[in-house]
Amino acid sequence: MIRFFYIALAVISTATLTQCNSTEYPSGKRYYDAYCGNCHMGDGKGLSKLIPSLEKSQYLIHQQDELPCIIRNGIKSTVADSSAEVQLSMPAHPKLSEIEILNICNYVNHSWGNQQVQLNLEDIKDKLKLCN
Amino acid sequence: MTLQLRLLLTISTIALLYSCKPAVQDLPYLGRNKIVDGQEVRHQIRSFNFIDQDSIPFNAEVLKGQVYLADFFFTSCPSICPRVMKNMLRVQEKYKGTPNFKLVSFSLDPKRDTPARMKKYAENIGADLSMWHFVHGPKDSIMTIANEDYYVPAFEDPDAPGGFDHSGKLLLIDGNGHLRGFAEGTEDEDVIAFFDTIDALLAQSK
Ligand code: HEC
Repeated sequence: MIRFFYIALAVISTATLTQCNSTEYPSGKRYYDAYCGNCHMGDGKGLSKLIPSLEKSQYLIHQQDELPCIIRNGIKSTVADSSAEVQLSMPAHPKLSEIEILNICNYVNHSWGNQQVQLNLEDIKDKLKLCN
Repeated sequence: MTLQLRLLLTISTIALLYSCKPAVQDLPYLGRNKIVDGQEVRHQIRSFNFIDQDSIPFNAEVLKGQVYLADFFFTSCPSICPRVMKNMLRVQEKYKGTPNFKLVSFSLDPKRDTPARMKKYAENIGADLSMWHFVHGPKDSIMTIANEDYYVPAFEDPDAPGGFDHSGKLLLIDGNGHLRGFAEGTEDEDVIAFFDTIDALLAQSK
């Protein structure tokens, strides 16, 4: 009986510890949280009109081929800093390796209602060749 | 199973279960007290004279008797600000319509962040300008109150993303300008738990 109690305790502890990190792409999630999450947020919803939501993203459907490039090179705001318009640029991440980019792409592509095909390293290399 | 292991398991389980629920504290007064004329006086936000997103004067008078949550940001900030703003929006949603409660965001980059630009930014993120002020003032004064009064490390750094290094802390100030609590604006869970602290201060301030 007592033994059962301690086993139950161990199970509760483990469950409490693990419930936070359930995704099919844990390393992609780690990189996303580190490099993208401050802007696009943990739930992918972005920030109102300032930062686009990645939830059920049309971009990921129609511009999937550009995803590795924008992760590496960012997106320059088309609006001058001095103007009263406020548009944030997405920063470049030149230090991310192809594998890290791959992990981020797969995580984003399979989170928040997005359902894209799983990419492999060759796909990423090919798409990165097309960056302008 | 050894006694130590049992103890360890029991303690760690209790600790884990409790880690989600910080108890509501008797709110302390934060900051270093000063000695003035031999008397110890509480740390207090100094009075200042800035303007807001509508170019309307924003000073100690406006904040008198108000509980407010302050943060430091700049509109072109590419690092932590969006996440902090998301959490400020969370606070806005929760305390909409609460009398004598305000949100105050000071820009660290007054050169670029004109009142007009901050207003546009406020609209873009969905800020309710009836309770939220975006504050514009001379850079040196803003940096000084950030570092010395609100205890938010902030400085210009050409190597930092966007040109400024700063922390994403949210500071809770009472109606007399005393610092009563803070949360990490970048940590969603911390901010949600902070609602208890805000509630406690609002209850005491009635
Ligand atoms: C500093 C904030 C910031 C960071 C960090 C950031 N982004 Fe972005 N992202 C933006 C902004 C702003 C846009 C919109 C840019 C535009 O269209 O002009 C954007 C656009 C996008 C888009 C296109 C969405 C659409 O609907 O147009 C995707 C996809 C995206 N980001 C993914 C990522 C990923 C993946 C990362 C991490 C490697 C990341 N972003 C990091 C701010 C950021």
